Formats: sequence, structure tokens, C-alpha cells
Amino acid sequence: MRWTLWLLTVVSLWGYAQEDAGRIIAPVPAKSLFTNQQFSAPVLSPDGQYIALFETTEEAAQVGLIERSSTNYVPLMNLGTGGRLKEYFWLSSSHLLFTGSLVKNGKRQDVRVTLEVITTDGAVSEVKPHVVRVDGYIMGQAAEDPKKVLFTTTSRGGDTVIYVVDPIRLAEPNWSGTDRIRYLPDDMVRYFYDSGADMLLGLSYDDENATYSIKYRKLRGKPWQVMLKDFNTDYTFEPMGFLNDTQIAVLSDIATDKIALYLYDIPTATFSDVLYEHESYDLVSASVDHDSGKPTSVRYYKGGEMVVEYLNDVQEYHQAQLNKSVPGRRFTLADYSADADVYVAVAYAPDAPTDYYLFDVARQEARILFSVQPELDDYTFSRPQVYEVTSAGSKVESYYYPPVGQVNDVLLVMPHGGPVGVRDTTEFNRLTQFYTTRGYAVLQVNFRGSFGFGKAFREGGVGEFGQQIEQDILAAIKKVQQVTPAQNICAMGSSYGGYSSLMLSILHPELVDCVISRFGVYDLPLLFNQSNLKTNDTWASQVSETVGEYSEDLYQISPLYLAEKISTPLLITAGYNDEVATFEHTQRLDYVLTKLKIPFEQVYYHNTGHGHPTWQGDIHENVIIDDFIRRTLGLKALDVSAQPAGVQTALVEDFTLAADTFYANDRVDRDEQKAFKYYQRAAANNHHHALYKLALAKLNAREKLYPIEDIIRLLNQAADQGSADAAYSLATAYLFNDRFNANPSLIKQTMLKFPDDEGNDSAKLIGMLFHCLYPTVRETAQSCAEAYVAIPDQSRKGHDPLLRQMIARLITAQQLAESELATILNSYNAITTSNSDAELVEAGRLVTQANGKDTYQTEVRKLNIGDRIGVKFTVSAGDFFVQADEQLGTVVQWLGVGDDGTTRVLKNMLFNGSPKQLNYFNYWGATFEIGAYDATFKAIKLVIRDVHNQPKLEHLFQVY
Amino acid sequence: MQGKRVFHLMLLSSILLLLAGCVATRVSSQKQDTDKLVEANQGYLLIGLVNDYDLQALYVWGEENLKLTHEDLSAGENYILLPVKAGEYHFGRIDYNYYYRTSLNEDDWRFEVKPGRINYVGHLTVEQPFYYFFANHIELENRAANAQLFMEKYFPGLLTSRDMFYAGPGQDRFYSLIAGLEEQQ
Repeated sequence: MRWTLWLLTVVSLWGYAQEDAGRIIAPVPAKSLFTNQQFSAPVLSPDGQYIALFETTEEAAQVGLIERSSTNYVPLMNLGTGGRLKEYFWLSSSHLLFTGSLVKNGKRQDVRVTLEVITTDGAVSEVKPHVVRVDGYIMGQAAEDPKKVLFTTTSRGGDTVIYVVDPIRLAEPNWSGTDRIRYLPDDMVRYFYDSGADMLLGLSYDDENATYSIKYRKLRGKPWQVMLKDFNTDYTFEPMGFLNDTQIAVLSDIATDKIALYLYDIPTATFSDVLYEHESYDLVSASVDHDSGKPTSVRYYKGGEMVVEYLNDVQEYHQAQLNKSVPGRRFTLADYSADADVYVAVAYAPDAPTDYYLFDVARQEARILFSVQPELDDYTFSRPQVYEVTSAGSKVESYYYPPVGQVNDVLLVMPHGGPVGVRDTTEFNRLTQFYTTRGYAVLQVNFRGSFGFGKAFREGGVGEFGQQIEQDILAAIKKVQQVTPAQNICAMGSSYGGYSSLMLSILHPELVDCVISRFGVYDLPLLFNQSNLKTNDTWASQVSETVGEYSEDLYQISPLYLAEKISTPLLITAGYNDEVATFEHTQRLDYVLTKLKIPFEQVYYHNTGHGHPTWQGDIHENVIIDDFIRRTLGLKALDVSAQPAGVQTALVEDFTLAADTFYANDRVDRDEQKAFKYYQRAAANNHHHALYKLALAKLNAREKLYPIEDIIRLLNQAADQGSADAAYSLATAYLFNDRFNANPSLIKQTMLKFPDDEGNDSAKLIGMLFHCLYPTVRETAQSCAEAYVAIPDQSRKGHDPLLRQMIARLITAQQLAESELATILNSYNAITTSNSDAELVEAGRLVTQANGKDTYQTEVRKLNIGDRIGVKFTVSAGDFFVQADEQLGTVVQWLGVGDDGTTRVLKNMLFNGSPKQLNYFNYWGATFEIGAYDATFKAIKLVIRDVHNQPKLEHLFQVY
Repeated sequence: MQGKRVFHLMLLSSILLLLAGCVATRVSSQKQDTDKLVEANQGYLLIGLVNDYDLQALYVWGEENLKLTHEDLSAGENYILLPVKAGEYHFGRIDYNYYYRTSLNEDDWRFEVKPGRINYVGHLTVEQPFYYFFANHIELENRAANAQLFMEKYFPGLLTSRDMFYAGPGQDRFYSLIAGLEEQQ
């Protein structure tokens, strides 16, 4: 394994964050929002001198550090595009253990490495990587010796092994642990270590009864004590830390409605004292100090915001200082140095991505470290208002995000998924802010079933699908409409949120003007009958903990069985590989709506589960959802030209991505009409990339024949505005495509538009072909073969399909002398000039059978646009003396035959192979898809030629 | 003596295994959209199959013992439509190749073919996670809407003469629901 170390590329991160004043008000481009956080996971070195951090960009992921003294950013290790961080741990103030993965040549591989930071004159001058060969993770610092850690690994037999080890030694090439912790039971699935109390905890799981047990002991102790036995996961029991040898602080709701911090007495298995309980909210975490035996902090969500309440005076003071220093941000302390003289603090805000600060205790000074998504720092986002309503006796909290900038007068109601044990918060949310910055108001509701408001409220959501849950949402909508009424209301959600949105429209069609149901469930009884492995009692019991017991009533609250009542404009999105809300739910609803002739729109994503695997899916989906709402409600389309100049390009790229996705027949089924709509939208502002994409789409359109002049105009326009791709495409089209009616002057004019980049391969190849095809206008005495050979191998290899077309074009143009032909063919896969013969095996229209396989339909009466025609043929040596390993070449030429019998070339392609590979049982195949232009001909003709342009096989496909 | 006994036991096992393979009738999926139910006690068995890689054979035990061969079991999504005797069945065994196979227990893989109709029993999904050959995940999933679309596309004639029913594990009213819609129309 090798790593590229980038050293001393010094970038100052100070100043990334900006003040609120001066932020722009504009729709935030989807590509800027739906992307990875650029910087994350800062961790202080023990001496507080360095802050390790992880950086992700489109080009690469890398581990880096910030020098506290100089504020310089020093990249440590490049992990390639898609590299990931699992964890890192400062082993000492100069050794950082990194665990994660890197991507090299498209392959992902695990990485465990200790990065040794070497300094000269106080600045980082070198980083030495030491590979850690043993797989495992660090559980924490050993209480018995702060210089050592507990390192957990797995033996060859699959058992967990824990060592107490000097962490620096893990990087030794032949490290093998010696100080091993003995007597670990076999049935533990995971161990935890409480360093403060020197206690080891083990968790075991009973598959049959779905219960947990927890045992514990001193690290070096022998007998294991039972802390908790056969614990049912219906309740919470999370150990937060030992207070003494027999008492532990736990988060639990066994004895109270809210999840509170308890003192749990292990020998008597009782909750003896409540250490902290909030009257309204569940705690989500807590910390305790073993030495004092007291809790030091608790966390909970209040009004959607995470609140960290420090019960330790010093930390409480620090946090208060921080909160005061940066208004509008809520700080929590994330990490601190060994002497607690420096803190890393996280600054949250609902209307800004997270910022990280460094807090110097002695100076009482906070300085920004970095913003996690610097690209978003320029924008203004929506700040929510918290509303509370009473619904069927319960208080329901909701968050209303007013629109930013131009107001659409639309309230987007977004029920969350789950619905039980999940919640919405007001932390910065990409999806919400995508819509608020496009002028929508957004409402999120923590309806009954949501987490964070106590056990009774949470369990109150069980079995309330389509009933009290939607009543809670309705109450929240009414409240918001009283305060800030919107003319239109649309419901949009994913998973349960998709179900809920659709049910809201079925139950209240007068209220809801449009619905976007994403990755939803629509047939509730199907949840109990999804498969043979999901029909048993255990499965039914799990499902009923959310949906309620299986009964006839489920049919009355399933959108599938209520489909006739759907009258609201509806957009359905789903993933074909969804294993949570299986695609069958969507397919059923789609089928029934189609049968009932109820209009709806749909986009289904390939290679997608219960959400998008890549940001591209999120970008595509939200761009089309925004468009759907605007069309449905008759709103003005997003006006890119009215936005600040810096935003326009990215907004155009959003539309282009949406178009590309519909055009490519990859992530979604090809839909040329939709693709063109978004290409047109993107090109409306004359952006060069959009013009280029629109031109290509028109050139290759299947459903409609666009005038060639229009395509040439678009390509020229794009090329004039700086699109190198457009210039290359136009020149290539002039050279290869008979429709373009090229002449040398036109081609030369186009070549003048190539960027001034001598190293560009496309420019070199196009120049070479022009040189070969038009010898009369050559500017140098160089022969065609010389021009070809002058292009480096490396440049040629990257453009194989283009090269095959070029050589085929040269052969059919008959511009080459025999010796030139030999040189060029030899340079390409060592093809010889030996003769070859071709024989037809099968030809016809390719028809996909019920089993998904293609067959040839030979008696073709009519060819339609989009049809694929194909031929299967054999190639043999034309001469007796051809060697078995010689590479023979053939040109497969597709021609359009006009009414008057004249032909035009539609496609030329070079094929090659050796007699050893070519035999009667080894067929060659070529297929051709009928496009709009191809369908204007009377017939399509296939000609297979040898390298001397002699026709060896002809076949005519009639187009009636 | 001991060795001889072991040899005889092995021989017997081999013969029994061979017989078990032999007694199944080799069948292949119907390709033409014609009604091939000739007897009153026959029904159509419709199996959806989703497999990551080509399978060698699929055995269905029951009223008739059936063996589907690789020609119906290539990688991807396949449908297998067979006229069979009505009665109790279960998926019995999947052969990945000549050497590796999985036997399926009767309880988890049973279904019933009723006479005179098209009995969709589910999509048998055979997935090979993490490229580990012996760790196949096999499940019989209910994809009734998908099966309906398949029949409408490739067997529209048969669908007009025979009703579709869900005959897989659990209860499902989807086909009743869409039959009701057609009656309304």
C-alpha cells in the first residue's frame, strides 16, 4: 500500500465563516446543498496544538490538520475520490491513528495507519505513515496507565480479543499483543469500556426472544456480574457511566414517562434516584464524572434544537461565554485538550450549516475553525418558528420555516418517516432549505409517535396510521394557516411521510392542492405478507409495534384500497430496490391508479433503495419536485436569469443534471420529452454547457427529427461561449456524420474554436483525421500515417471508440496509400492488411422475450424508431497464409437507403480479432438502434467490408 | 467390515439421491399465449424468479414432482408458467451447479395450486451477498403487481380466460381488488 502525502500545502481556514449581513437571498442550487460536508470531525491533539479533520471534495477525501499556532491547514493523507473516515484517535500529541478506506484505481481498500507528525521550528515539516497491520479498534484509554489504550481485535477463530497496549507500538511491523485481557465470554456481541471506573461491559443478544443482557466487571477482574438480564427493547436502558462499583448512571424510561438519567443500583436491580429528568423532553445523552459521582451534562431537544445543559460549573460558564460571543448560534463543547485549556466547540443554527470554533480558555476567545459546507456560507436560509398545538389532549410541537426571498404562497407540509420513534428537529436541513430558498414555506410536525416527548406520546402513535397522526398534522396546519396563511398547501414526505402525505389528501382533498409521495407504503396489509420469511409471528409482532395489529381495518387506511378517492395532483417517486417500503407498494398503486385512469406523475429510480445512494439522485428528485409543484399550482417557473450571477451557472447545472438523468436511461427509464424540457430550461439562459447538451440531445433524439441547422447553430453558439466539448463535437460531427454536409473550410473554422491547449487528445485526434481526409488543404507535408503515429499511444488509448470510427472512416474514404493503411492498422491493435471474409449467421430486428433474452425476428415488416436491428456474423481469413494469431480487421458500415436508391453513411465502426478467436462458433455481433433520422430512409443497409474497403457481406433491412 | 458397511451406506445414499433427482419430471415454462389446461384438476403455477446468477435446476415437490432446468433459470428476472396438477406443493431444492445446492424445508416454502386458475406463488429471489457462494439469501417475495404486468404483456389471452390468484405465503387481496376494478369498468 502506498499513500500520497501532501505536505505543506498551506491553506488558511480562518475566515471561512461569514457574518449574516451581506448574505445573498437566492434559490440555493441543489448541487451546492446536496453534497458531502467539506470539512468534518475535528479532534484536538492531547496537547491542544493540532486539530485533526477530515476533508471531502469531489476530487478527493483527505485527512488533514490545523496547526493551532499558525492556523495553517496541513493535508496529511490523500484517500482518493470516495475515501472514507471510520475513526481517528490521537495516540500521543504527535501520533494520529487513522482508520478508514481509500479509493485507488476505482477500488476501495481499508486503511489503518498511524501518522507521525514531525515538526521543525514549531511547524509541521514532515508526516511519516506507519501502517498498522492488525485489524481492530481502540476502546479507550486504560485507567491503570493513561499512556496505554484498550485495543480490541478478532482472533482467527472469530473471538473478541482485548489487549492493553502502548498505542505507538501498534504500528510495529510484527506487533502481537502480550497483555491480553482474559476470561471474555463467548456470547458477547460487543464490549464497552468505562475508563473512569475501569469497568468492562459486555452486551449479549438473544435472537429467539429479541432481548439483551448486559454483564460487567473490573477490567482485570474475573467474575462477571449481571447488570441487566433479558431486557426488552421496548424500553430504553443506556448506561452512561459508573458512579461507583455498584451504581451506574443510565438513561431509561422504564420507571418514568420521559427518558431520564437514573442512578441504577446494580445488586438490587432498582432505579434508586433520578439524577436528571426534564418535565417535557426525553434525554438523548448524558455524561457523568466518576470521581465526583455526579452527572456533568445532559442533552435533549427543546423546540427542535439540541440543548446541552452542563451541570458542571466550569463547562457551563465556557458554553455561556461562547453563546454570548456569537449570537444566533447554539454552542456545544465537542472536544478538549488534556489540560482542558482549549476546546473545540460546535456552533449549530437552524439557518446555517454547522461551524466549528476553537475556544481558548485562558483568553476567553473563540475563533472559527471552519464551516462544514463553506459553499453555503454566502446564502440566507430560513429560521424556523416553533408552534405548539393541542390535539386530542396531547401537545404537538411543529416547526414552521418561512420562505426566503420571493414568496410562492405555498405551504409545504412535510410529515416525517417512521412514524414511531423518529422525529424532526430544527437542525440545519438540506431538504427543508432547498424549498424555503425557492419561496416555499415548510411545516414539519412532531406528531404522536415522535421521539423526544415521552413514552406515552411515542406509543400513542402505534396503530394511528391515517388516523390520529394525521389529525395532529391537521391541527398543526390549521394553527399555521391562522398565523401566516398560504394560498396553497402541498404535502410531501418520504416513507411514512409519503403515506401520510397521500392520506392527508385522501382525507382532506379540500385542503391539499398537491402531493409528493416519496418511497412510500400504500398497502398496509402487505407489510404483514411481504414474503415467506416475513409472515411469521415474530415479524408480525415487529410490524404491529408500529402499524398496530393486523386487522380488516388496515384496508380502510391503505391508500391502495382508497385509490378511487385520490383526486389531488400526485407525484410518486420510489426506488426499485427499496427493501423497507418495497417497490411492490408503489407498483400496486401505480397499477390501480392507471386502471382507474386517475392522473399522476411518477419517477422510479434504478439501483436505488429506501433513498438515494448518491447525491445525484437527491438533486434530480428535488429539481423535478420543485418543477412539479410549480406546474401543478400554476406558479412561475424558477427564473434563473433573475438570480445573482454566481448562482446562475449552478442552477443551470441542476437542470442539466435533471435532463441528463432522463436522457441516459440509466438511473431512471429514458424519457426524452422530460429530458428535452429540462435541457430547454437549462439552455434558456444561453449557458454554454446547457447549449452543448441540448444540441447533443437533439442530434441523438429518437422521438423527433430536429433540423441539422438548428443543431449546428447550438453547437456553434456553445463553442463561441467557451464550450470546448461543443467545438470538438461539432468538428467530429463534420468529419463523421453525413448529415452535416461538411467542407474543409467549415471544419477549419470549427477547429479554430478549440481551446488553446496543445495537450488535448481530442483536438489532436480530430486534427489528425482532418489532415488525413483532406490532403489538398494540408498545412504540413506530413503524411496521414505520420500524423497518426505522431499522436502518443497514451492519447490514443483513451479514445478507443473515436479511434475505431476514425480508422473505419479512413478506410471507407479510400484516401490512404497501402503503406499508410498498414502503418495505421499496425499501430492500432497490430491489425494486418490481410484479406478477410464475412458470412451471415442471423439478422433481423432484436426482440426481447419474456425471459429477458434477445432473439432475431427475421421477417420484419416495419421498423420503428427505437427498434434495434442486429446482425450476427462470422469472420474468416481470406488468404491461406494468414497466421492464427494475426489480427484481422473489418469495417461494419450502416447505411441509409433513400427512395432513389442512393445511400448515406449512418455509422462506420472498425472491428478486429484473430483467426484463433474467429471460428464458426464464435460469432461477431453488431446492433444499430433506429433513430429519428434513420427512420427517414426507405431501408437500412448493412455492409461489412475488409480493410481494403471491399464489401464482403451485405444485408438490407426494409423500413416500410 | 466397518469399511464395507460405510461403503454400502454411501452407495445407498447415492442411489437414493439419484432417484430423488430422477423422479422429478423435467418441465419448462410455457412460452405461447394459449390455454394448456386440459384437465379439470389442473391449474397454472406462476413463479417469479430473481437470481443474481444462472441456476442449474429448481425442484418443486408435491402433487407432481417438477424439475426446472437452466433454460428457465438464467440470471435476471424470469417468470415460469406451468400447467400442473392442483394440490399442495413446496419448493424443494435449488441446484446452483452440479456440485452445490440448497435444500429447502417444506414448512417455509409451501403453497397450494388450485384448479382452473393462475396461481401466482411469489418471486423466488436467490441472492449471493458479498460474493460468498455458500451464503445465498433465498426468499419468496410477494410481487403480485409485477406478475400481473408480466401476464398482461406476454399472456393477455390466457389472462382473459383464467383468473389470477395469489397462492403464496400469507393473505393478499390485490388480485381481488383489481378484479373488482375491471368489473366496474
